Amino acid sequence: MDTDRYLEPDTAPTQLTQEYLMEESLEPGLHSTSPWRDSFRRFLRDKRAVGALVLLAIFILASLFLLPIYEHIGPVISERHGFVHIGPAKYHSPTYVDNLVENAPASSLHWLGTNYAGQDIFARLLAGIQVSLFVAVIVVGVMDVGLGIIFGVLAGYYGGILDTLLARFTDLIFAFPGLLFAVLVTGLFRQAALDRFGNDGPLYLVAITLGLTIWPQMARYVRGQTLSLKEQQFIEASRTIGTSSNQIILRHILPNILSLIFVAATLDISGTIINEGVLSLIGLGVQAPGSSLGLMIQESLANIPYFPMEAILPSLTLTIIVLAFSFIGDGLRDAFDPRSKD
Amino acid sequence: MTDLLTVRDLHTTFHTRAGDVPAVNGVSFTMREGETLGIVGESGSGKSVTALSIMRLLPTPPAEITGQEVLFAGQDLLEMSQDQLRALRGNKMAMIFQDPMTSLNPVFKVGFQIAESVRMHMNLGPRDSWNRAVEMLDKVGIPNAARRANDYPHEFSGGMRQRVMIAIALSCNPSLLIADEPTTALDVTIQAQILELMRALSKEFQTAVMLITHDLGVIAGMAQQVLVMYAGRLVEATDTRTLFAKPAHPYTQALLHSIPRMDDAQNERLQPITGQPPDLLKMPVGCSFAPRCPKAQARCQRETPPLVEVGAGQRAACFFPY
Amino acid sequence: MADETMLATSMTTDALLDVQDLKVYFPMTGGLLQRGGAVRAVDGVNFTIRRGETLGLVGESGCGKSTTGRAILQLIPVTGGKVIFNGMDITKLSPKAVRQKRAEMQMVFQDPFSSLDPRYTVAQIIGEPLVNFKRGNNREIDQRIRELLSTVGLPTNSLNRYPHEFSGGQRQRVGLARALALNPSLLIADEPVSALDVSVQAQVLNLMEDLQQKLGLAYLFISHNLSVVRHISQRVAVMYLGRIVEITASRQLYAQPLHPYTKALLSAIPMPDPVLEATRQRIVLAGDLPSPVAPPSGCHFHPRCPRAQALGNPERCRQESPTLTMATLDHAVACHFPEA
Repeated sequence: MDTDRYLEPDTAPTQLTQEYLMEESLEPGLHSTSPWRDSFRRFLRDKRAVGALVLLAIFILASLFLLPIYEHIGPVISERHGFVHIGPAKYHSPTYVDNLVENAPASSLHWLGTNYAGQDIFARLLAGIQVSLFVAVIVVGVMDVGLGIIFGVLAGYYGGILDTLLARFTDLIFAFPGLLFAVLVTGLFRQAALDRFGNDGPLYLVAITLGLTIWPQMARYVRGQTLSLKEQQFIEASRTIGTSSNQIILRHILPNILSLIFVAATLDISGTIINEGVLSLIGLGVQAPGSSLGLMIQESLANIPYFPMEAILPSLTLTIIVLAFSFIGDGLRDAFDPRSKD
Repeated sequence: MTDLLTVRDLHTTFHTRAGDVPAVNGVSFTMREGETLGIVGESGSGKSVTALSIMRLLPTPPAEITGQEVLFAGQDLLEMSQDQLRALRGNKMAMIFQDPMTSLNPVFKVGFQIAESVRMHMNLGPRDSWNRAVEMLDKVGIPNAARRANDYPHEFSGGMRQRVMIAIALSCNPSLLIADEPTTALDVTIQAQILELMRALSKEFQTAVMLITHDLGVIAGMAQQVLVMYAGRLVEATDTRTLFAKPAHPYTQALLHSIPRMDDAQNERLQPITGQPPDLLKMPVGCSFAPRCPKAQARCQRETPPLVEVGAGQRAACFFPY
Repeated sequence: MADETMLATSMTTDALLDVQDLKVYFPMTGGLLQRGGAVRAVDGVNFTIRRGETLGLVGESGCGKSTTGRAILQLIPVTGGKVIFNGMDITKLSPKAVRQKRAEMQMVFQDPFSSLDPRYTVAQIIGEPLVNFKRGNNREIDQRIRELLSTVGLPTNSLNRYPHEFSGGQRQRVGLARALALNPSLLIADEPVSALDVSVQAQVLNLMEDLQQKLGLAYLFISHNLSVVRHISQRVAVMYLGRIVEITASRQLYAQPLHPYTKALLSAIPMPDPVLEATRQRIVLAGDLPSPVAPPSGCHFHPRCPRAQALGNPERCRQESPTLTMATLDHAVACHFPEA
């Protein structure tokens, strides 16, 4: 009957153990470490998360700096019976179409070969990573975290009408599968976006649409965390010593939920990158000859039996990025809350 | 009275990332049948862990329980398999906890939860075990027991839930009841009711009670024998009257002086124990109370005092008792 | 109500805090359409606290003692009554003015773990009120923080440490230092030692007594522990379901309780004395604490009252709510049939 409580990780005896884990850093006489630095140290101990972080850093740096360099590597070559001379700035550009070198194998000229339209696959992979990260930054970094924090904290702290509105809005979003909504909106406004912003237009549209569908979840999460934090006595204590509500939010609530938001946001990034890929895959994302990992997969589908690498390479890249963010998210969660592990 | 429980040199260590925590450190004592034994100590003293180690209810790892023997009714609990222990727990030995709010399963009727325990251990049919459940609810003073057995835990107040827990614990006529801070979460007037109930029932059922508490008042009113624990060790063991009249260990003395009493001169200054209990990860060499002890001498910092007889039926772990 | 005003005025000579007919009701909103009743958490409470005095407020869970403390600080909205602090009714003040007033009334909390922000250093925690009220430049504030640390008996190397590095007793000292930063004249202490180990409780209680002596503080000491309240208070008020049932000098209350509830409460406390415990007459109250959502009619205590039972459950106890009446000089009791 009662034996079960002692087999669960969160019951009395393990709490005792946890107390000692928490007091790890207590070294009388030494300068003490802040909770942030403690978490950082714990994160560094997580080999999987650190590995993922390093790998991701390599991908990001490569997509930002290797692409411009790649566009300077390679000889000037003659095309079309020697009448046209082109350099690597052209044939290593991710958007350059050359029907004469369709589906070329890997070579010193095209490191990973070319696709059905003669575009350089390596260049397109790097550009595709850029697109994925751009979408992640806009969707999660700006809309998910930004709107999520603002509405979540305000609704949680003040309650009232704002809270009701948030609840209704999230209900609405939840009632509608996010991706389906994104498909509808991007499908409807794709042409308008193309007309207005050119080839990159659909990408902005995808980012904003995904952002719209994702932030209410974050806001609800932040609201919940704010509510439980509000019950802590130190918030009441702050009121008794004359701290205003704005200050309480900025100085006490935000710093205490920031770590949780970090974790949630990292995990949201994975989902968002996948969704962008899916939208591109069904032709609602980046317009060809532009590049995106999802688009690359879609383009390769027709030729999979003959040129499987054209599908494997972007898929693998996408998988690695998504997994990396997941591992980092898991690592952060364990680092910020040592109780969740062991 | 014969010996019911004999614990010899019990050690419980938690292996944590930060190091080994010796939560129980060489505890030995004997409990007789039908007797109420109080274990008193502050948080982290190891009093609860001692009880959980005896019941072998700690997850291993991180806990590691070792010891010479823990004899319960002639059987060594340390040698038993988990199956044998399960048959014993809730049957011959039962436990109640501090928090009556989380000890009951919210989705089952209270009567069912008592009957389940009865059915498991006493081989009674559904009807008989239900009747036994109602009988037990009546015994623990729940009015309209037959009707209340059909209620769910949330329909009971904190005090009533603790009564239900006692009913479950006593339903199989255990010879040992371990009560871990059974009244700490309750209000004073409700605490009085529960203590009264436990007194009456332990007499009626001839159950030995191991009462774990931090409240010396509760000990004074309930226990015949007392163990005082400090930082995982037993520092004093004696009968209750002697403990309060002539405490031998300086920690016991200090504890008695540091609590405000209803019958002292009202504005007498309290004599607190200076400092903090030791960090179990960094236990001092020698007597663990020495850093806070007014009587500590050089020897106390070097050697760990063993628990020895210092008076008639009084044992203390101190080189300079009284 | 004449008796109540007498009680109030008899002590106003040096009153720092005068609570008059304080009411705090929490509306029960089960939805927009169901406007039910209200939880009468505090239902007409009167008492005064003199300068430098400790008033103990005891009662069991749900009796409204903590709510009373928070209502005095205006941390929760007051439904009715007056809270006169230093001659001024602070229930009528604007939120801004209340913030200013709070500098003079501070609070110490029960939970030493959740009452300090885990991401702040001790210096930041104690400094927060000083920064809020702009008490000096950085150097002066730093000086004041060090002063406060030594006042509550913490070493100066605690300054840059975080709460998780301290034990419960030490954290309670940090909380006290924060409360004292603005030089308040009243400290509301809500179960300040309940979460501490017994050996550490005495340290904090002694510290609170020292601070009172040194700084002339008045305390409203809220606790369920009657031994602790008796030890630290000059006067004690006993609450039951939102009302004060008895209020008098601490010595008087424990020597000669008049209200049947006070008597039962006192007899229910386990005493650390086995000889006494073996012989003592206990009054064990029947039944549970009623819910403050639906308190019993008349005298809230009547269903559990041994006195009412002894008198054959008089009609009056069930019908009429007893008012707090002076029984002797400075001893008020709310009972129709008090027994000396």
